[in-house]
Amino acid sequence: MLDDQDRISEGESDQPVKRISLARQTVRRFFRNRGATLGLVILLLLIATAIFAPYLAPYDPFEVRPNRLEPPSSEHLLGTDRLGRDLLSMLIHGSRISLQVGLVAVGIAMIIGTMLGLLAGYLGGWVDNVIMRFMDILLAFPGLLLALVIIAVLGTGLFNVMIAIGIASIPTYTRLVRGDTLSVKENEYAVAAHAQGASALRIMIRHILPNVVAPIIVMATLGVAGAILASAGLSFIGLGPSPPSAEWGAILAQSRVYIRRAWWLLAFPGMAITITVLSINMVGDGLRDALDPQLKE
Amino acid sequence: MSVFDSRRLSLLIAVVFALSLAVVACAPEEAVDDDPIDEPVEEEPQRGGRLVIGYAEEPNTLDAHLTAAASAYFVMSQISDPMVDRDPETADFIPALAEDWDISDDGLEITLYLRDDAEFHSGEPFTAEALKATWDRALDPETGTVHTDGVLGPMKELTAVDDYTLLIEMERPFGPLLHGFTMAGYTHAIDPVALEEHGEDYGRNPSSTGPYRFDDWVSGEYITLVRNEDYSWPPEYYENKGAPYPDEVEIRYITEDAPRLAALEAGELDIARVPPAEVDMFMDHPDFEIYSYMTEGVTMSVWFNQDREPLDDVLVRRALNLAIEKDPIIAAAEEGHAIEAHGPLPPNMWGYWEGVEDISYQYDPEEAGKLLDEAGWVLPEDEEYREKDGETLKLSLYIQPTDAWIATSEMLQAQYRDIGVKVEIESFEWGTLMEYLSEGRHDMNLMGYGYGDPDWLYHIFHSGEAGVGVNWAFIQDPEMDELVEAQRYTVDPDERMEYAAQAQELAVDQAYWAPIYIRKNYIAVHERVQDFDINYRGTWLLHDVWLSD
Repeated sequence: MLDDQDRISEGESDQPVKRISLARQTVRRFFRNRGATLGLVILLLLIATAIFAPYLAPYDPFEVRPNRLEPPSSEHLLGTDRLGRDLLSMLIHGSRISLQVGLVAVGIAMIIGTMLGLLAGYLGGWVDNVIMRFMDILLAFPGLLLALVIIAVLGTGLFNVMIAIGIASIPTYTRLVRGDTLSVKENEYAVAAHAQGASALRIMIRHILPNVVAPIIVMATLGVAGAILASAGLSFIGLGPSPPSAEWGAILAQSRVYIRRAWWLLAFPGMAITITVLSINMVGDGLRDALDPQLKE
Repeated sequence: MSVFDSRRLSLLIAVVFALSLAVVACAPEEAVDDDPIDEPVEEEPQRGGRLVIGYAEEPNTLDAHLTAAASAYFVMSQISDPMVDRDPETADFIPALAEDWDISDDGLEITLYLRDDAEFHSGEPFTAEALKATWDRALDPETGTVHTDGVLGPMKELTAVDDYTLLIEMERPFGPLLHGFTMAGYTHAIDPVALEEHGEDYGRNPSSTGPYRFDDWVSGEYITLVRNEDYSWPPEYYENKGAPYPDEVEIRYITEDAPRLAALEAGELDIARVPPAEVDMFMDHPDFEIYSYMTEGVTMSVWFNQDREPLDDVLVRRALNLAIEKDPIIAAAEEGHAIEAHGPLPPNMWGYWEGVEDISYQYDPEEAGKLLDEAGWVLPEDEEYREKDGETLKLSLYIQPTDAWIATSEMLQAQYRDIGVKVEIESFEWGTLMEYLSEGRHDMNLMGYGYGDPDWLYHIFHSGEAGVGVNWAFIQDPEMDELVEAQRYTVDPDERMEYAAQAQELAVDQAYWAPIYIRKNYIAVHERVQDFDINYRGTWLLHDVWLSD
């Protein structure tokens, strides 16, 4: 690593040196934050769980057995549900759904939101006006309510839940990116690129996007947590994937009638949601602090 | 109401109506203590107090002609009286506001002789003219009444012969008519003064002849009723011949089970339904008596859309019947608080044919497999699901996302997988579900109903109801049409019973749908509530109720 740095610092421009050391600083700052590190570890474990779900789950999550509503035991570590299905296996498989929803929904919101924000901020004028007034309309509805409306139009189902949450969170990205674009496009390098005759598209992608990407990453990370919560909420009120589903919110919804009888059916899915959301939030917070240019060493 | 497509509306209602009755129309369970209180000490009833009833759903309106909701039916029953009642023990028709009635031999003319001492809450006397006005309103298509077809039937003309005699002329004989008259919530007389005074707002200010007067309604919170001091015409089977004992009745609306039960345990509610998952906890509770009764209907069944392959094949339908093991489904969906259903009607309904118990399908996955083989759906080696001509045996199952339906659908999916049939569950909100079922998008669907009369067979099996009514199995069978029509337009009870029996036999033989279970319902009643009872169909008998300190 040191060699690397030496070699680069001998180069003609000192720009790359700065960039690398900045990245390294960022990483160092991130890992100095214990909460963020812990969050990242948990998150990586969760991702591993999702990827290797079929190998980790002790049972087929949807296999119906006669021993229903059994409390946690050595045989069923987290107990069984009302159909006699192994709760642990369901939660493990459910992690796939939750992470998938989080990533896809945020992916949709981030890509569309960023594009719209760049266009609005860079082009200005009527484009800006049209896009931002449309975003204002979307923002006028609370996020979950908007998602409900979209699901009412598209129908229920896992994929529609992803789309609904995704669309509902577009405006936040658009506003964020537009704001940053407005300030970044006044910088000398952007003006210079324009003076050299670079196309608007090229300036937006090559010069502006890289400079607004840090806050997007932070927001997207936090957005994954929000999307997981929202999908659990939508599943809880019956708008999520069709049964049988191991979606954590759906498990919670079906278990709520047993709240006085089978605590494990509510405690563990609830904990799964809490831990996941908390760990992602800690990572997001850590990233925000680490990427903040004001916080130099 | 005229803004709605009337045909669509009548369809929606037919079902809501049917399901709504599940709550009001029920029957007792033999084994369970029918009258658990059986006073050790005979106490003199005392007046006063407020009876608080916990209820999950709030009514949309209390205008009897504009709603079919069970929650509305319950409130309206307390403020009104039926024309005809049923004996709580024998289920025979007995006089209520109609002291007597005549039915002509051809079934086309019915004469009701009304009591002359009843009054509306406004003080207006209850007369044949007022009853005629009420039913004319129900029959007027402008009103958009949702249950007329099933309750009042094809009435042609109503004539008030004198103040207390009403002559009804029918287009066709209508078997279920007397039953319709017992349904106070739908066929009670509306107070003409209140209707005139409140007009459009009558639904929030209802008035009739019953033991309680409507008092107040705070949306999302409660409805209160107060004692009708002038009341002196309760059904003859009550001890109490005058006004009710409690000063007030409050029906408090708490949607979710958990908070409603918490309120019950805290002593804030006197009477509330208890969901199956919680029954055992209340059974041993010292402060409560538990009453139970059977739904007068089949609470859970799978319907096969016979418009679609391969469900048009009777062999496949029989196989799908044989593959169902009902016990585990009852355990999962109702905590065991249900009995197996054998045919389209429940044993406690008048018109039930016991023969279904001998010919119904018993769990036999091997036989089911053989039938599917015979139908050409074979299991290729190393495959999980059967195939025919390269096509996998895959069926959609439409449900609504309620707990019992989800549990049942998941159990069915597992049981059908065992015979090599792949099931894809699709869940929709109630309104959407009904729309899709009417369009016939589904292969199979879950359905439950409650109804007080075998005329239900007409609604679910008649070809004319396919696509517009509740014949969501799209059954088009001329033989069945003939039987259910005969049942409907025959007035002689024995003949009706015979036609209904034949229809039930045909339905089981042709495996039109698979009945699964009939639910037991439970209500917890606080010990301070005295002389509470339920009748053979689960209707709460509140008129003798009084509150001890």
